[in-house]
Amino acid sequence: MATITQENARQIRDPMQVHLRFEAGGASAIRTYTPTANKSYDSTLADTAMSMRKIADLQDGGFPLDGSHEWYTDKSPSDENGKLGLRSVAGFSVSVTITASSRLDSVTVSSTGVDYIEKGGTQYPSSGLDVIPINANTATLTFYPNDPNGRAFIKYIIPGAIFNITNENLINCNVALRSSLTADNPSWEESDIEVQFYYPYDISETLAYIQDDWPLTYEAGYSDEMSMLRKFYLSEPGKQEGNIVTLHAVDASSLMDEKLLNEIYLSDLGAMLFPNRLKEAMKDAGIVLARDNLPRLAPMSGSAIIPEMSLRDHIAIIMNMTATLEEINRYSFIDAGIPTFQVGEEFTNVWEIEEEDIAELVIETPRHVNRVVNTSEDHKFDETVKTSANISTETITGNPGQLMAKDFDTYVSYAELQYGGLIFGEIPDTILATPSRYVFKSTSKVQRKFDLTYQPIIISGGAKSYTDNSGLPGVPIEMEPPIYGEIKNGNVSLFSPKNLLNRPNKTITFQFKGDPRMQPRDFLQLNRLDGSRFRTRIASIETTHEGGGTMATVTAQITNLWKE
Amino acid sequence: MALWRQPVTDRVAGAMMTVVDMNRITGNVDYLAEQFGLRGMYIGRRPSKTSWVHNDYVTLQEWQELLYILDRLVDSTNLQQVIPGTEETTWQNMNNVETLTLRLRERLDIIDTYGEWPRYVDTEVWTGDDVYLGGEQEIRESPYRRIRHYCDTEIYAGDIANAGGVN
Repeated sequence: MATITQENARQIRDPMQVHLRFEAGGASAIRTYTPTANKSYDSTLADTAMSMRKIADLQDGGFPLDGSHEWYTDKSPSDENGKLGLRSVAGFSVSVTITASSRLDSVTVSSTGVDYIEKGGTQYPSSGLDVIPINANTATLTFYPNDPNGRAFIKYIIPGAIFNITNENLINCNVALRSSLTADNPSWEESDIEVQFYYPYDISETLAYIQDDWPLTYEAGYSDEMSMLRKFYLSEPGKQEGNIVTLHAVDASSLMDEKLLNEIYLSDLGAMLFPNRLKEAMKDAGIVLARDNLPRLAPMSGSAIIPEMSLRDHIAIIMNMTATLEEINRYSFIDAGIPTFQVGEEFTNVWEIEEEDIAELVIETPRHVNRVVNTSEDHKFDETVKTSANISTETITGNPGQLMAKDFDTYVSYAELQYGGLIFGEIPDTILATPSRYVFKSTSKVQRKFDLTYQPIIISGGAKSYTDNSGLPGVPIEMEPPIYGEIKNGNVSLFSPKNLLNRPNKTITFQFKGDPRMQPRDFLQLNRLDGSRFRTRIASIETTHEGGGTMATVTAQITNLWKE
Repeated sequence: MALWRQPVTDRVAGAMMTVVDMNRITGNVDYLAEQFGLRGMYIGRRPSKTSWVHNDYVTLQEWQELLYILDRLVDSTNLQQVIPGTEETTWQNMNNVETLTLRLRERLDIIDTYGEWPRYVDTEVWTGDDVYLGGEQEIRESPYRRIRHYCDTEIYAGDIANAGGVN
């Protein structure tokens, strides 16, 4: 029995188990497997998911008498009881020739009882899960048993490269989990992982062919408790120097950089559905949420326009704006390998650490922010968004088959193109929120005049800057209005730059022995030696596993919204 | 004293190995080794383990020991049977192992019934042939029939082998 909590309570912990797995599929499928000199074989060597059938085999310590193991049936096919794999005659090698429809860069072989694998005269020591460079359409692999009387047992052979990295072959692993949210820098860095591990032979060519974005998973802990599985994606080509392979991967949040979110107009109803719109945008960006917690209908009111920007910036801004509001109004997206989006109640842990268990405590207090200044010439903070009562109508001429274009110079809430009182079919009937060009195509065979009706949105009111009312000296931060208008929950303005004022900006940084369960934005209480305490939220955790030891550097921000 | 249990010889594909099977096989081999020993046959060894429980593992060494004793029994009783190798843990060969114990038990019953060691005739026996103890028989052309019949069971001294394999 060993859990992370139990080990943390000990003066000296046992070495933490680190499990990493990298999978890069191949572009070509293996078409045929042709074994020779085998004891038994079935045709599903490509299947990695199907469990292995329990066979009453006298190899490897024999078999139990609990009725779970069946006798061999020569060349039995795979079925619901599992698959047989490829097994050599005891004490003898077994070969399999694989053939693919196109060039195979490499294959991954899962085997037991194998000393080494030979391909084209080159011997590859077996570790149980081995990547064999192929660089051809076909190849013959020969498996030699590691016991003179033992059986070589091949579970699967699949295209591509899979690496299992454990304490056995891990040299070091640096995991940086980040969700830093400071008032003047609302964007957050991506979380990343860098792994160095030992590989017994040259796979540099295989690494060169692996594309970015293949997943690298990470978990750490002890036999009875591992951390949640974190998933990262290869961000640069793997490297091999001698027998040391280096992989670098980042979390999925980087996908949000490429997802441009169009301007969003939020009315009362739109604001209620806003969290779901963000979730959809994340899905479109390719992010698979591990957890989400969204209210069905948030009781919101008001109207606002969120300018066009990347989804990542967008999320960062609204997270920052709501970070110090009561939990019910908080928006947060945390990736760090476990993409989580939540509005309202958060998935957060609460940790407690004693100062005597940490080292190198650094307390930083940046200068107090007492003012938020607008740098935009065109828009002001918290502008009131009003829909004009006057609907504008103008006439535009449509020639047969010709495109008609209209450039709106302001935001509009809707637009309709009519002819003879009938709404023309090809006009968007949803809210149009941006000053931009709309193009309509006339399907009429004669020239006609169409009535274009639209309702402009007038933006008015607002402030050039906000100043806190504490009277404390400080520095201003400058920013453009991240949102035009105001969305409220009751009396609370959700996305207002005002929320950036009057927030604690003190941070602490310290080293301790590390806990892989910790997640950015978790609550952390540091009990000081003098009896005082820091109540914080974790901004970043950088954990290093090396030489059997684990060490972490934590940066956390003081919070005045403590979650008991 | 070891007990005899009726062997199972009708396994089919997908059959599992259980503690009941192992107790029966080792128990029967132990019984045969004991009984043949009591009748003056030197087997030299009995299974080192005959009482298995649910969580026990059967190892290669234990199975090899079992097959070794079976081999001694077969050899000593002049039973023309092949001992399965340790490689062949198929359901068919598990049937073969238990069939072998059944044949040995039948041999034991023959000894008790006739008070003699059964001997094999090592060539064809013709109708009307005289068969001699020790498996050496005088071969003569049958004066009655020209159709040859195999003798399909053990022949004892003084037996007359009849046409049709019934002796």
